[in-house]
This record gives sequence, structure tokens and C-alpha cells, in this order.
Amino acid sequence: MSDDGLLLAFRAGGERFAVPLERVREAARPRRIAPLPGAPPEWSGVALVRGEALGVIDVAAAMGLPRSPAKPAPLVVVLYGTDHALLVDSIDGVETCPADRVAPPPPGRGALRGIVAEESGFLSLLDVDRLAAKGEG
Amino acid sequence: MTASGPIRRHVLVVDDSGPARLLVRQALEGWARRTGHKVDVVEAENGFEALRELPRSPIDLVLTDVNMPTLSGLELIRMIRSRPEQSALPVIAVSTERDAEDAARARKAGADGYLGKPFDVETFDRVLGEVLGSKAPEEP
Amino acid sequence: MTRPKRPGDASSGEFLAEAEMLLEEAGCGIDALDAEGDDPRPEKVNALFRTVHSLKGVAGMVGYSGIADAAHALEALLDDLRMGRVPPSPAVRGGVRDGLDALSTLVARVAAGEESPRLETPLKDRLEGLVRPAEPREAASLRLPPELDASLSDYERHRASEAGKRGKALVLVDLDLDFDSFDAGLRNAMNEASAAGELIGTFPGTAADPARMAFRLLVALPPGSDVAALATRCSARDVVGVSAGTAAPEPATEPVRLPATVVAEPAPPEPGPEAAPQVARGVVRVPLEKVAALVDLAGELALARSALGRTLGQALAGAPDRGARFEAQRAFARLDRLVATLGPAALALRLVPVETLTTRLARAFARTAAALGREADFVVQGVETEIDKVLADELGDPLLHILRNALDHGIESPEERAAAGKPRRGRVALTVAPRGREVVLTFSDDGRGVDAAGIVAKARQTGLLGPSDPDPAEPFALLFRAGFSTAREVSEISGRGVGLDVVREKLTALGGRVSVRSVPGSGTTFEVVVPMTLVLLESLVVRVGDVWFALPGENVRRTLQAAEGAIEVIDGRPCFRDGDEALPLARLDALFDLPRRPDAGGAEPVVVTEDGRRAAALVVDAVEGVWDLLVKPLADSVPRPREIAGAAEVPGGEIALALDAGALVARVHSASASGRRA
Repeated sequence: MSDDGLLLAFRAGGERFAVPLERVREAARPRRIAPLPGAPPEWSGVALVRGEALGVIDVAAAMGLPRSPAKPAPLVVVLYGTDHALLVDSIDGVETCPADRVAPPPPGRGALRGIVAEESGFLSLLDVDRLAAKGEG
Repeated sequence: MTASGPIRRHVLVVDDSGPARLLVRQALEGWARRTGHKVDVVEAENGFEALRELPRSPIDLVLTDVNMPTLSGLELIRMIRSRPEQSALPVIAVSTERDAEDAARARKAGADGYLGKPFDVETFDRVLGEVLGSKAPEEP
Repeated sequence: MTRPKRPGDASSGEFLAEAEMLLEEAGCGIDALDAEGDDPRPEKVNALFRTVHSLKGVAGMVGYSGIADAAHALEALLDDLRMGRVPPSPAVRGGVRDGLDALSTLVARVAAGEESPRLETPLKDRLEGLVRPAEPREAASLRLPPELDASLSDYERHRASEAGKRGKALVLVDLDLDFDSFDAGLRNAMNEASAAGELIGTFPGTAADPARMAFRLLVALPPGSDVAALATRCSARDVVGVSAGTAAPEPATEPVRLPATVVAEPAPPEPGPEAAPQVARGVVRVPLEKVAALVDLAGELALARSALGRTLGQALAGAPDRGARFEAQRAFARLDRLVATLGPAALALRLVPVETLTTRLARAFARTAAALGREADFVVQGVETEIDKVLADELGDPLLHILRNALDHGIESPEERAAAGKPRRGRVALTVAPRGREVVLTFSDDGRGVDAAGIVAKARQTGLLGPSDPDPAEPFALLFRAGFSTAREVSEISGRGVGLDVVREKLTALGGRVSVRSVPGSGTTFEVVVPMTLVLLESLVVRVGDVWFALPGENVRRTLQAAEGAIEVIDGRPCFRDGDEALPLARLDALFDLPRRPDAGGAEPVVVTEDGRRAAALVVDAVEGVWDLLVKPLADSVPRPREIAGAAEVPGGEIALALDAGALVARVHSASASGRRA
């Protein structure tokens, strides 16, 4: 898969993240996320989107940031090819990212594909499959 | 209820689209907050419902979409204007912002005012003020 | 400029639902126009114009200015079309189709989370050659009553003069209706007028007294129409002819025939049965929530019926009057039967003909075939088969993927087909048929097929099958595994990284399944089986702290408040005495490591659950109620205790975690066994 593609950029825990647009099914605001007993802390719980039960991963918690507080009508990004959605704070929009600007992620930062330096801070490209797999472990 | 309280306005909102009715309702509620009115919104999904609702409720103002299937907003306004007991009822036609022609059509059919969607607050308040100011509701 | 709404806002969801519905409607509209060719009915053109206008309105309102701009450009073309400024030529219809495709793409981008999608090349520029620059219109002079002439809109005036040019008769149908039933009467007259000719506009009439409603319909009738019959069918007070003419006289081959004034029979005081509210083809459209509310009520009624049955039996046992006892039992039996049929009848309201889905598929098929340069027909059988409305909506994506797959990988190019001795035009047949409580959808293409040996080789190459794994018995099943793709290149059409594995996942989530078989050289067949209705499971909903759980009703023996002393410790195990049985007992919060609530003291609710073999008692914080729930399975990849099988929405918006009774009972038994050892 080429890195030179369209990304959906969003914010979680005060930082900017992105996933490949082709992995995004939709953004949704489920009415609530039910906590899942016994799940690791990066799992926010279960949400029903268009009648499907999805496991919701708290991007902030999965990236070592403080857990997202519970709030009404949370915003999630539903992914293709998994039964998961990502809990985010807000969506910045669709952005393009030239492959040559992507640097390898710093070690120990979790499920990242790469990072892009920006004027203020970094845009972290999430590795969607590893993120979900990490939750499974 | 004393006469010093806020004026309660009964507004009939006519639009075949549910989200559109909701947005008009929200705009009306915002207007009521800003101008110290109270507003009771009655919704109608089409011209038929609107014509049926009018004699039933003490409506002070009608906001109708121009573009509706079967009985269009213009046809509804023509009907309202033809009824002696409603001929002076303030009516505002609502359509998309780019439709200067719609405004002219609506005026011709008998609308008192015209609002283009999406609403901006100043225009909304101004048009409601103009239309309602000239025709004060009868005090109960 | 308004700030674009963020995706995921409540209004964005509403916008998507509305926009998708309007696009669907517009798609049907352009299909109808194509079917009518060079002389489409003006109502059809006007309806399409209105639909696009509505789309512009909603898009503008929620701040999607890129969509509003594109809709505005398409609307301008449709306005030219309905006002007769451009002909309904294939080029213009093609332009309308392009415009609709562009709008669909923009809406899809909103669904994908884009904030304010906009076309790279404005649609206005793309439709440039088709739209006429605005020019002053010739004003047709119509001999109409002055108050009516003054309020005629441009479009109504255009249609009236057009009718005159075409030798049609213009009439005014004069209606004087009772206020209580005016809408039924007006709708009926409008339908009759549209059936007899073209309904140009509705105007106020002069009511005989203020308690009545008077309307006048301006109608264009083909020459030779039976005006008297129309008057009767419309229950009209009167039908009068009006003349139409244009400022520049038209070289009409035949003079406009003016019908004589026809005085109809006086309108009956009460509308007859034929004037009853008329709904197209006897179909009433009901929002799904209303159906859901009815299904809920039917469920609650069934529960009330059971409760009544239990107490009635006890109450009657002591009743001295045998006759009254018998009557009461008979009445209850009748109630019982009616209630038992009400549930399924209410569920059946959710069923719609699968045609709503196949029409959508057919349109996407035509677009995809054109994009891929394939020549192919899509033939559908069994469109009348009924399916749950929600399923019909949800099946669109996975079935579309199967169709795209057939076009992309199955059907060969016309040249390739000719070389193989096949007809140049390929064919994909979809057969829909009910089978018991399921619906089977079979897609068969006559394309190149898939080779089983090739699939296995590919699976070995990509590592799906290890070198030591034997050849699978079902090689075609490999096609549905994640990471498998036989596409030689990633094409535009089946791109997006979505494979058949996603199709299978989605169908599984809907309670369905999919299989495939293929003969190399002659084609591939996909068989999709889905339940006819989404099954609702009667469930007991309990709460522990903030977490809600649902247990299948059939696994609940009883719920009760555990009186003090009912919980005892036998052999070091907490036990609950249920009649003669001592059942192992567990607190649900302890079982799932949920924060323990401070003991409120007094009786706590206990649920006795059983899995058919064994039973166990569970202490919960509260029993919330019994509902019919649509339980959605939770994927294995979501980490959780194995007792949690899925999730369901409880009326009111809470989410209940669905418990697997078998696993739960086993867990309680083993937990208390280990407790004894400790």
C-alpha cells in the first residue's frame, strides 16, 4: 500500500492522527458507548452504528495519552475490514500526504506507520491493523 | 397571564423535509431567545396539513418552503391569501439562498417576506421583525 | 459564509439520510425520463427538477456549499429542460445523469467523513454546453380569470401555453369541498386530473361558505377528452374551458378545440367510497420507527397476556360459577390467539419488496459496466420477494460488491468474449426467492469463471495456506478470506482495499451467509442467504452499576427479590435456595470485575438462569424489564469475557451487553467450585 494517499486526519488526546481514507467507512456519533467489562484500558467499549455492534478503541489511550472522558454523542471513525471504530475528539478532514514526508515512527510509540512533521507538532499515521491487534493482546 | 409577559407567537412551519423543519424550528427558537418572545411551533409536512391546521390553531405566522411536491408553497400561499379569515396572516416563504427568482415568485403569490436558506441570524431577525411588526398579534 | 458542519454532527447524519433518499428519487426520475425518450411527461421533468432543488436546499442549509453549488448547476439545466429552453435530447439527459453521479460522489465523500467536499471542476463548467443563457421569455397570453392570471407562476404559464401549442384543451376544474374531508377530495381530484391529462397548477376557488374549501385545478386535456366524466370523477362543482394563445401566433395545424362549459352533477354532500383517500397502488409509507413502536407494543401486549393468563388461572380456580369460568377461559383463549398473531403481523410490516434494492443495484450495474467498458445485461427475477426493510438497506453495499466483482473479474471485454465464441454482451442474472424463513439471492454471471486450482495456488503464494496445509475441500471459500485477491491489478472499481472478506463479514453480521461456485470459462455463481426478518429475541434486561446486560428470555427461570436468609453458604459455596434446589450463586459485578456498589442492605434482585442442563443464580443491582431485542453479535477480535456474546439497543437508548446463558451458567458453577477450594 502506498503512503502517498488520502488520509482522514483527526484529533485525539490533543494530538493529531490520521488513517488511510480507504480504510474509513464513515464517521458517526453513536448515542453512547457501553463499557466492556474486562477489556484492556484502550478499549472504550461497544457502540451500535447502523445496527452493527462495534468495538471502540480509544485512540488517546491506545497511544499512551490520558483516556478520553465519557461524553454524550461521542465521535467515532468506523473502519473497513475490522469490527472496530476509533474514538476521536474531532475530525480535521481529508488530507493528502506525500510519501516522502513520512518519517519512521519513534520506537515504543505503539501502532504507528509513520509520522509527519508539521508546523506545530506531528501528524501520527496510525497502523489500523496493529492498533486493533494490540487491543486483542 | 399578565400582559407584561413575553409575547407568545404561534408559528406554523411547513416543509416536506424533516431536517429542514427542524432547522427552521431551531432558527425560530433562537430568534425567540434573542428578541424576548415565546414561540410555539406547529409543524406541517405538506400544504394539505397546513390548510387543515390553520383554522384549528391560533397561528400568528406561517413559514413555508416554496418547493414541495403535490401542493407547492406558492400554491399554499395563494390558498391562504384567498381565505378571508387568513388573508392578513403573515406568511414568509423559505427557499434556497440563490433563488432571487423564488423571492419574486413568492411575493407575487402573496408572501409578506422571504428567507433564503441557510439563514443568517441578522436577516432572519430582520425579516421576522418586518413581517410581524407590521401585523401585531391580537392580544387574547 | 456559514461554517461547514463537522461530519458526525447530528445534522450530518440527517443530511446523509435525506440526501441519499433524494438521490435515490432522482435516480428513479432520470430512469423514467430515459424510458420516455424524446417526449417525456412534463410532470416527470418537473418532479426531477424539484428533487434536485430540494437536495440543493438541504445541502445549503447544513453548509455543504460544494454540494449546493453542484446541485444548483444541475437544477439550472433541469429548469431549462422543464421550461422548454433545451430539448430532452440524449445529450441533455446524459448531462443530467453526469450531474447526479457527481452529486452521489460528493454525498459519499460526506459519508466518508469529509467536511465540505467540492468538485475539482465545477459542475457548471461541465454542463456548460447544455445550459442556455437566460433570455427574456415570450409571455404567453392566456385568457384566464384575471385573479388567476395574476398569480400564475412562470412555469405554470409556460406549461399552459405549451399545452395550447400542442392542441390540448385547458380547463379549470372547480372544486367546492367540505372542510372536514377537503384533503381527500383535493388529492382525489388531483390524481384524476393527472390521469386524464396534465395538472398544471392548483389555485384558490370561491367557497360557497367559509366552512368549505374551494380550489380550481388548471388542467391540460388531450383533444377529445371526456370532460363530463372528469368532472364526475373529480366530484367537481364545475369544469370550464379556458383558451390559450401565445403572443406570436403558432402555425397550428388544427385550431384549438374549446370544450363547452360542462356543468357536472352537484357534488355529493359526503364523499363516496371512490373519493376516499387514495394512495398510490394501495401502498402507505410508514416510518420505520412507527413500525418498531407497534412491534414493541405487540411484544408488551404478549407479556401482559401471559401475566393475565397466570393470574386468571389462579383467580378462576376458586370461582364458584362454572358458566362464568368457562366464558372467561374462552374469552382468554381468543385473546391469546389474537395476541399470538399480532406479533408476526406487526413484524411483517417491516417487509418490503426486494425491488427497492434491485433497482438500486441495476443502476449501479449500468454505471459500473460503462466505467469498465463491459457490455453486459443485468436480469433480475423475483423482485416481488419480500425482505425486512432494514435488511434491504443494509444489503446494498455487500451485494453491490458482488456485482462489481462480477463485472470487474467475471465478465470479459467484448473482444475477449467474441474470441472465446461467446456473445459479445455478457449477462449477470439475479434470482431472488424465499426459502422457508430465509431469502436466497443468487447471482450468476456468464464470465470467465474462477479456477479452483488457481485459487489454491494463489493462497499458497500469498501465505494464506502454509506449505504443509493440505488442499482445502472448499477451495472457493478461500475467496472470502481476508487478504485474498485474484485481481491482477487493483482497479478503480473494486479498489478501496475491500475484498470479498468484507462482504462475508457484513452478511454474517446480518445473520446471513454467502457461498460461491464456479466453472472456468463459463461463469461464477454467488449464493447469498439472509433471514427474511431480523429476529428479535425476548430478553430480560438487568443492570449492574452503569452496565446493562441482556439475557435471553428462554434462559430465565425466574427473577425475585432475595429475602434475607435465602442466600446460604453450603460447603463453603454461596448458594441460593430455589424450592428444593440449592443453586450456586454469584454476584454479576464480581463475576465481571465491576466496581462493587456499597451494599444498600435489604433484598437484592436475583435472576435464576438456566441453560437447559444446569441453573445458577445471579445477584444484580436492578431488573430493568423485558424487551424484544435485536441482538448484534460482537466480533471475536473485540476483547471481552466469553460470556458476552453481543450487544443490543434497549428502547430508550441504552446498550445492553448480550449474555451467553450457557457460558454464564458454566462460569458461575466453576467460580463457586473454586470458591469452595479456597
